[in-house]
Amino acid sequence: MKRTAMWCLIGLVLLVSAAQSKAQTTSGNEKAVAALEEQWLQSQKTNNPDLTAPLLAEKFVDTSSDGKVMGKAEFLTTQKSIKWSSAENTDVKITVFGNTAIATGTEKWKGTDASGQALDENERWTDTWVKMPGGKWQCVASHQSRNKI
Amino acid sequence: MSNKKGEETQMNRKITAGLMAVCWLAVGSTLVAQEGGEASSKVEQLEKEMHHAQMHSDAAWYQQHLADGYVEGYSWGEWATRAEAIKQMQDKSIKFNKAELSDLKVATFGPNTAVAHYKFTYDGTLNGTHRARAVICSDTWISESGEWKIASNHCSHVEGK
Repeated sequence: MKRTAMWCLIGLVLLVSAAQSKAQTTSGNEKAVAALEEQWLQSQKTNNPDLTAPLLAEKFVDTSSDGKVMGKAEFLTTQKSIKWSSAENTDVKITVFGNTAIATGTEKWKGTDASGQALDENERWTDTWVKMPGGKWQCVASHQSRNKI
Repeated sequence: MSNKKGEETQMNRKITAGLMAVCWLAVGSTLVAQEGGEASSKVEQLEKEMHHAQMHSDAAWYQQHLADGYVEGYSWGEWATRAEAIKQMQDKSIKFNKAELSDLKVATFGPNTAVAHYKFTYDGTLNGTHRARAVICSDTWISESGEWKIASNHCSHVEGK
């Protein structure tokens, strides 16, 4: 009887510690992705697209708010052509599904494009992040759309 | 003489080991590619099923395939949670006069993640508002214990009203 109770207790302790460990991993992953989103925002605020390049996977696809679909190279070229004067994210939420994370948020930003035309955007975005075999999170897809059309 | 034979044996072993490594690499790459191809086909199939479910207000399909934590970004600038998306599917007043899915492309990232991009052109009444537009969408699918579920959907308005 005592032995059964002891095994039950050990099982319970293992179960609780496994659940805690999973929760800690999820929380750690959320923080890691949040930090990368912050790095992306900083790259815009400081007009330094070089900070964005390592965040994107080779097969990265961006869908802009006007429906343009771009691969990594074209996206980075576009980012380099924009001169940001301000950029702010709000309502950022991250949900982790194993080795995949979905980040959503709203971004208001202002700047000028390559031709000098003023840009003033209020967009919602969804980013898909994947934990790569080396353990590094990279963004594989980003989708933006305009707020309240 | 025996030294030469020994060298030949060693050389043969090296060649065999090299060939085996190449074979294993080829088998491994084929398996990974096959896995990616299968995942891609499965997600394409699920996208078509989802389109059918949407056309027929099949909320049960959504209950089964929307991951916990699912988020949807509508082309008219609103977010929806899993519960809100399912509730919308239960709304029998949604009517489509026309709905076409095109340019569907699926990319896989490892064994458990896939992203689908497509264009959806429709004319219908949703939430009491008539919309005739083309939207471009991105869906993220995740495989949980071998079952694919959709984790997010985001659409942008590209044409129409």
